[in-house]
Amino acid sequence: MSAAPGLRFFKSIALRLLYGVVSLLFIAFVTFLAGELAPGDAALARVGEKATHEAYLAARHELGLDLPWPQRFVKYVADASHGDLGQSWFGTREPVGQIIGRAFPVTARVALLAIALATLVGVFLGSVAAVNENRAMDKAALSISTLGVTVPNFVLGPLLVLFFAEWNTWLPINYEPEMSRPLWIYLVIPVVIMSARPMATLARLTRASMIDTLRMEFVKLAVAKGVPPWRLYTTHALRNAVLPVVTAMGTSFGFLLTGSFIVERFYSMPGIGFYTIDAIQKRDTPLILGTVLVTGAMFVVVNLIVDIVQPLIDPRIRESQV
Amino acid sequence: MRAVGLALLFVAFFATVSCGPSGGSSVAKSGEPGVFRYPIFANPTTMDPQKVQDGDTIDMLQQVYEGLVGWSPENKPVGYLAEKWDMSADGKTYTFTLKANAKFHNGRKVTADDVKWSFERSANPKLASPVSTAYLSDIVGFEDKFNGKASEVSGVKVIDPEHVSITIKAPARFFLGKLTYLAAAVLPKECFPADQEVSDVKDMIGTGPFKIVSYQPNQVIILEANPDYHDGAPKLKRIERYVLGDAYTRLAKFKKGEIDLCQLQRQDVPAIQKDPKFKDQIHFYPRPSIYYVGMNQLMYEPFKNKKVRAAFAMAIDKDRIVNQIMGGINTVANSIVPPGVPGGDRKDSQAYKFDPAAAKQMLADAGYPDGKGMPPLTLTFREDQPDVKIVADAVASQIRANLGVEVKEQSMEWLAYLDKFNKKQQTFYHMRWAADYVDPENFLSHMLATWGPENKLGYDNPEFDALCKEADAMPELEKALPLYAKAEDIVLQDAAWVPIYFQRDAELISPRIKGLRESLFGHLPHTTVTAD
Repeated sequence: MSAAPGLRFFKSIALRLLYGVVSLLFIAFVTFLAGELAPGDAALARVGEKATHEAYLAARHELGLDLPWPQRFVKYVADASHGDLGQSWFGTREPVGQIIGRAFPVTARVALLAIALATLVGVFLGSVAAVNENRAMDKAALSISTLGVTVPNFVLGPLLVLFFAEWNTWLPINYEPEMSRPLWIYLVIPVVIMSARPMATLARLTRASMIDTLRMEFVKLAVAKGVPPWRLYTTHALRNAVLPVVTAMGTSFGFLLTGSFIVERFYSMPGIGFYTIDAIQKRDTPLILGTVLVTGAMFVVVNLIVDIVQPLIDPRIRESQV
Repeated sequence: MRAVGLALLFVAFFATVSCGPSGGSSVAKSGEPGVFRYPIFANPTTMDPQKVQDGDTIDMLQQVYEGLVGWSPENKPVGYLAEKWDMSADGKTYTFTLKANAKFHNGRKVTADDVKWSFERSANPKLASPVSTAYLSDIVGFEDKFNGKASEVSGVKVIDPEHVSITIKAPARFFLGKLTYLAAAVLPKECFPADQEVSDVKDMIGTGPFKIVSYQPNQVIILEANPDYHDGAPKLKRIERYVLGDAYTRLAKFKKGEIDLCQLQRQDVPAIQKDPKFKDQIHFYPRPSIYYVGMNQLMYEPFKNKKVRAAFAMAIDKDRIVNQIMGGINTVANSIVPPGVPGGDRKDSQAYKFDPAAAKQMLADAGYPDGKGMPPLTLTFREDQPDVKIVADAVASQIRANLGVEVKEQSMEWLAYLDKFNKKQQTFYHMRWAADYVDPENFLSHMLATWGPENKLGYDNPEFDALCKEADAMPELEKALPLYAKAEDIVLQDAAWVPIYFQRDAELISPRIKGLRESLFGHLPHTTVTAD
């Protein structure tokens, strides 16, 4: 490999990172502005319905909300660029960085396991469906993935808990702080719920992509050459069909990393989605901005990884970059 | 080679992900004797007793902090830190004697200096308590300190280490009721700056029956018995408050015996009442709060006409809404002052009865036959409570069906809703008022007199105002009740609002829990609770 293509590769990554930073600034600005424009503010959330108007004004002053918003935004960005995301305005006034440091691993662990499960099952179902196109196996696999797309989290969650945690005692009802059982037991239900949708998406995508690939000339040639079916499907067809699947995986994973408010609240998991929605309801601006920025940054990183991985899988992309 | 690279990438990512702190912790085992486990719906909004305003957080903080007085199960103010008190002849000065054995969690005795310091902290403008002025501004000099015009609260005087006096601006029979609120909690003055919010568990030093030992956000709060509590050590060893935001999860955990108390949603009650295993564990508690429909005369021209308001009041079938649609858990409100509050739930009140024909005629008399000529009208309500939407839907459809008035509906996010309400801009709305203290003043004068801070709908009747003014000033509540009854009838006949129902809460309580005390405002500190 000559130096030039390598350099070009790094330049393109650097450029992508720069775009990422600009996007994050833009995200922060839009989030901040949306908070400003929404009726009601954190001071109102703090003082509640019984407070006098003077008490409300005092709370605004305490939170610095009486300063003009451009001034507050500039200060926020300046602080954030030094890694200081501020403190939550509620409860123990915990630093936002600390909250995210605690909440993000909870969400990320589930997201990673969910995307792994979704990929394994999705690609398997999709391949089986494609190989058996329009036969019973295909229909069965398609039905499963249709269910995955159509059954919402808030239906699947209670159903799983009902069967596996209430009628039986195999799994816990929620993510318990005392963790009297091994960690993985607490992860089963959230991982299964979170994987349902990406699993369905990946299965359908794999099926379509496989069917296209199986109709290509080189597959016919391989068959003519007497390649055994299992090798044909895995090494030849799947390898070539997998590219759009990797892209979709990246996008799905990005979404999973933002956490699911529904699943995290339902299962009492202290992850990033739970905190984000709680923060939005209280207008806890520092925490809202912090969680939005971190999840935004995750999207940037995941997309970058997908861009790096794609040429590793498909030489054509590598060539086109040169 | 490529495969190895890919694998490495994933391993690296997995490693970064799994090295975070695990969700687990050192929380003790559950369900053992002496441990009371029950949910809190969300993280506490604050750790500072003088700043708290929501019931869920109060239920946690009142185990840790106390003031001079608090509620009894009979809904009377009784001494908590105060052994007793005397009132001066003019009804304006209360002299409190502190309990000799009252100590802070750090072991120091509570003195009159702490009491004065605590009131001044509550009035400190830099602390910016959202609630202290609402509850404590009767005290001479309290508002001056809050508004930065004075450095001390002149109405609170230290007599000697065991005695403190509080002087109020005018005699107020509900002053002690207001003093039960945690804005008047007593804190040790050496522990933290007077102008900073308590936000660290370490700094939560009160005098209450329990001490807070740990708090994991979105997970659990642990409280441990204070063996030196001035009223005797609590019978429990520990209280565990799990943060459980989801009603389904709470109920499932109760049924499994993983928590000992579960606040029920109204819609879950009928199924539990049919469940042989749990039907005897359900308890109902009337709350001093009323759900009503408000008609804002400042925002909507036709509401200035009493006949229009009366027509609306007669067009709403409360019995159907409360007893049929909502299953009869709550109580139909034919008055404004709720049951439990003296003079509340009067059976002979002059409320309009449901009468669709008369309502239609009344609206025609007002100049709007079949609703013709009325400007567009929207019924607004907060979005996060299913029952509020159910009632709003029913009210809107009854108004449409019985009066022919086209009513749209709009749910609003709570803070947006409250913001608009505070600006007196909610036009036609479904809302709740919950008592601050048990006195009809808190529902009549406070809500509907022209000086009432909660009168956000432009109701103005001099006759009503005069009756309230006279009754509010009476030192003895018994003598004021007939005046309040008269004032209440005036408001009902004026149809300033349409009262819909009085709230009743349902809780499932495990038989292993005994001795739980309730007041109208909810649980009392768990000093007498046992857990088998």
